[in-house]
Amino acid sequence: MRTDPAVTGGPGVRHRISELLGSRVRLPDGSCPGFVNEVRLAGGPGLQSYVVDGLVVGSRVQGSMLGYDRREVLGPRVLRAVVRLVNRDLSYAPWASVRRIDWDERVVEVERLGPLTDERAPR
Amino acid sequence: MPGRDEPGFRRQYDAELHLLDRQIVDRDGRPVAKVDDIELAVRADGRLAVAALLCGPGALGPRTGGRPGRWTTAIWRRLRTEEDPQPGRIDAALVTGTDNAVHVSASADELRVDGLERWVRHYVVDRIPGAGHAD
Repeated sequence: MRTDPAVTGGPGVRHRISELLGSRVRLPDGSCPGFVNEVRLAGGPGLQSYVVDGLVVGSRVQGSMLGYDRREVLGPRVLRAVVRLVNRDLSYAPWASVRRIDWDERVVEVERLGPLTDERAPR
Repeated sequence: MPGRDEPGFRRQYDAELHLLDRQIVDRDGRPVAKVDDIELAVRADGRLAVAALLCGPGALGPRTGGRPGRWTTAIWRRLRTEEDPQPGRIDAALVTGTDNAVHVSASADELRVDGLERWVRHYVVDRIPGAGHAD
């Protein structure tokens, strides 16, 4: 999948992942559904072959799942329920939906947001 | 292990969950540093790829942000001798796998990412009487 250079800057330009984390997310209608809570990487083999696959977006600047995003972490139930409640609004912006990243203003313009349906999603 | 396509690497990484703040371990099993940030490089196809792991106060300060982050960065710059100090950088190609830690193929001495620690050890700790017995 080829990405318009206007999205990220020219080849060779370097950024830090912390510049993405916490960035404001903006939809085409100008609304801001939240902030980048997580950057998902996929690819390989080798870490140098992993690319940004998408962005986990939440309404708060950053949230933590306290390990409850890992399938093996199940209890205690009360805490798990609280974490699920707090993170119920998480959504996902696949890389193909990213239209532009303003690194200076820390704004990510995305075409659409989808549900977060993998292990990161509250269950 | 479920979710892995090849030994040592996950199918996907959530950067903050699986990589940031993890201990980096060298080929001899010695701790090197923590992953304080991750450098991304824009590829020819426009995708953002993992280029390196960044370590030390020069990486952690900007990531922390706010007054504590600015202070961390400022103190780190003040203690460095270079004109334009850069955070410790470990090329992503050196990473051999991840579990609870991030494993790299080089030795800690070769990586030389603990610049501040080396500086403090050389100019401060080594000058304290009895420092020679620390080992």
